[in-house]
Amino acid sequence: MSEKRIVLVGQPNCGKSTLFNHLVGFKSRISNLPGTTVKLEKGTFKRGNKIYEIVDLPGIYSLTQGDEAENRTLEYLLKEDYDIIINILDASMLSRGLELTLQVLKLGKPTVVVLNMMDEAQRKGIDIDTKRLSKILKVPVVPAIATHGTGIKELFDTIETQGLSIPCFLDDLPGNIYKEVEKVKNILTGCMSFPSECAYYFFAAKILGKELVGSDFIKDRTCLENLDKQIGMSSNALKQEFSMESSDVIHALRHHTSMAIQEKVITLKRKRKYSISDSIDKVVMHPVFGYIIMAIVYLGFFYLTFKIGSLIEGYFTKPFDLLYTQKHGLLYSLWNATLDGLSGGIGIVFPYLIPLMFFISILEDIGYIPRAAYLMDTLMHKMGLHGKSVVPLILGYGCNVPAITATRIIEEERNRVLTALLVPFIPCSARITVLLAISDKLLGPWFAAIILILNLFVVGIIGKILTLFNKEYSPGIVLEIPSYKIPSLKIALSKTWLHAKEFLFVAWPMLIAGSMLLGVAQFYGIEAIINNIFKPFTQGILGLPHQVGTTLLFGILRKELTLIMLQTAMHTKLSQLGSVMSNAQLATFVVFIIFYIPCLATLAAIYKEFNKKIMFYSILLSTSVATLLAFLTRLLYAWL
Amino acid sequence: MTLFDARPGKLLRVLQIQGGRGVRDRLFSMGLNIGDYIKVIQVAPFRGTFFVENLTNGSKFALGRGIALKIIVEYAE
Ligand SMILES: Nc1nc2c(ncn2[C@@H]2O[C@H](COP(=O)(O)OP(=O)(O)O)[C@@H](O)[C@H]2O)c(=O)[nH]1
Ligand SMILES: [Mg+2]
Repeated sequence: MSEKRIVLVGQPNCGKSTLFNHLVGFKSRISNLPGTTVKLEKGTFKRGNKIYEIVDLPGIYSLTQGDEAENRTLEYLLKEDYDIIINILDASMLSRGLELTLQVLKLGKPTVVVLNMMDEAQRKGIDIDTKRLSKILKVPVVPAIATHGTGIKELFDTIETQGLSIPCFLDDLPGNIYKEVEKVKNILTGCMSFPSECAYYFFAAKILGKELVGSDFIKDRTCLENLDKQIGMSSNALKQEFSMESSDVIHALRHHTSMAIQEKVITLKRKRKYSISDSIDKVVMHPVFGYIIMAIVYLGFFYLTFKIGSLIEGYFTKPFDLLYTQKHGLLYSLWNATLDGLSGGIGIVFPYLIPLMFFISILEDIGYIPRAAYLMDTLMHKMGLHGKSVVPLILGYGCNVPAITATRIIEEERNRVLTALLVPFIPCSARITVLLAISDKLLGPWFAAIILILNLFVVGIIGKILTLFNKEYSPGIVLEIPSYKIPSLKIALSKTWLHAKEFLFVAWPMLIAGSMLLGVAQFYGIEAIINNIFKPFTQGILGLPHQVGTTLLFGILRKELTLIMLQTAMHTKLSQLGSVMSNAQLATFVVFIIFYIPCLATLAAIYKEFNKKIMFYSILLSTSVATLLAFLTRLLYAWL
Repeated sequence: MTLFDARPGKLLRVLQIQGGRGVRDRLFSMGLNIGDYIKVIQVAPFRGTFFVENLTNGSKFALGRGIALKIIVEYAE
């Protein structure tokens, strides 16, 4: 019994993650969003007595340097060890997908091609002769509909029974081009070592086409010199023959070969009729209605979360209320603190978290987020960024951690860093919970609405200030807008469940433990010491009760903690906080919570994705912004 | 003319893509090629981000103004 490693390769949005999830179970995020598979998702798939390790690589348009996510895929494909490639194509955009396939078929690995989205192709009136395609590409081709799980059985039957051979597709390098590529290849043979002959052709064509740089792979001096010389000669030869740059020749031929293959295997049953997606876009992307819809989506999103959350909340917290004790003593205060953690987690955070995650995954799956990026592009330009930054920012409303990783879809490093610095200012589900719960119980729903809208302005202003210090020309957005997809309830629910699980098994225990710790600290007077240290800040600058010092400190671990520990710290339940804190104090507290230091996980993500310096910038920036805004809130309330 | 000057809704043919390798390669690999038939579906207000459909392969893109200025097209109707 041997474990084979299979990699999934395909262009963004071809349905890789959907297929992956069918194989491995719903363990990864999937969405209708270019570049959301930013981590390598791995999992095992068992079939009969065989075990496969499946790797879902971030989508890649071409085996060329691209954005950060694509570069990682490229590096994996060229340098890592794996046994089989499953190359997935969107059948409704065959020729474009084939351009990648023609490159993949030179990597020298056993490959099988999956034609996904056959239903979408059908809808467009496209008929594909898969047998003929298989004959042309000389690899098995399996039609599939990943959302339904159709084709998976056939795919693995093919892998297991046909015994995949190593393909080597060179038809896109005809005549004299082949001769020039061969010359380059002959030099490479002495300089690099591959198990398969074909990979030499791959690298030769890539280097000649200036799609990869030789020195990235070859270190030997004389090798590089010879290579450079040969590339120079071959480039000239091609330039003479085709009167274009050699780099354009290689690409153009690949493009034409793909088109020609498509021509051979496709029959259009009817002319493409006006699709529903087009009609929806008439309104959603409209220069006026588009923005109205965006505003409705934005506010509706929070309104529904608020409504559903506050509806469920009561049912969950009520039973706990009966269990609190009035007695004094270590055990009793520990008991009460535990109850705070228990009921706070399940009763206050959970009811808001679930609808929020559900709605965000629906938004992702439908395909709205790239459209929001288009609509916001103009505005983002005013800020010195472009529309792509909107993608991680929207994801930030769910959780800042994947949002930081999602900055990888931004090609320009400067924009990527600036976006990552902005992400923590987007209130994640944990902070939204704090906001919504306090608004629901104490300050009123309008408070939440005002804060959320003000937050957008603050993000805009901070962005503007940051980019002022980092002026740089960027050519502008290039973002694919995929067609709308009907969101699958199953996928939305499993994504929500994924977050719910993370909350129940990681966050909730932390909330309970944090609350208990605070209970004990309170009993022994340790809490008072910490609070006193922070007193000049909490009471002096922000005008908050000094008891919140410890709460704010613990909040760095997880933002939900602030809400739960606030109850313990103030010795009262959330609904009665109004009797120990004024509205001004509550508002100041919430504003501070929304903006101050990103949680530990987000900081770690920034550190991993960038470096220590950026992480410290982020801490400094968020703390000063939070302090300033909280102070202003205090002044505003005093003035009112 | 450039894509920037083209009238929305008209069928266009891509003649040339100017600019550095980065932008060109990006557009090529995402499926916008010379000779393709394209159409501007919408232009966002003010600075004008272009929502473009490539009728040759059915892909759609958001293209910034700077990019639109680099794509040379002709009317193809
Ligand atoms: N109609 C249809 N939609 C699909 C199919 N496979 C995936 N999708 C949808 O296409 C979108 C992108 O899929 P995803 O797996 O995230 O693509 P990835 O970017 O390659 O990982 C999601 O909204 C899926 O629900 C399919 O076979 N048919
Ligand atoms: Mg994916």
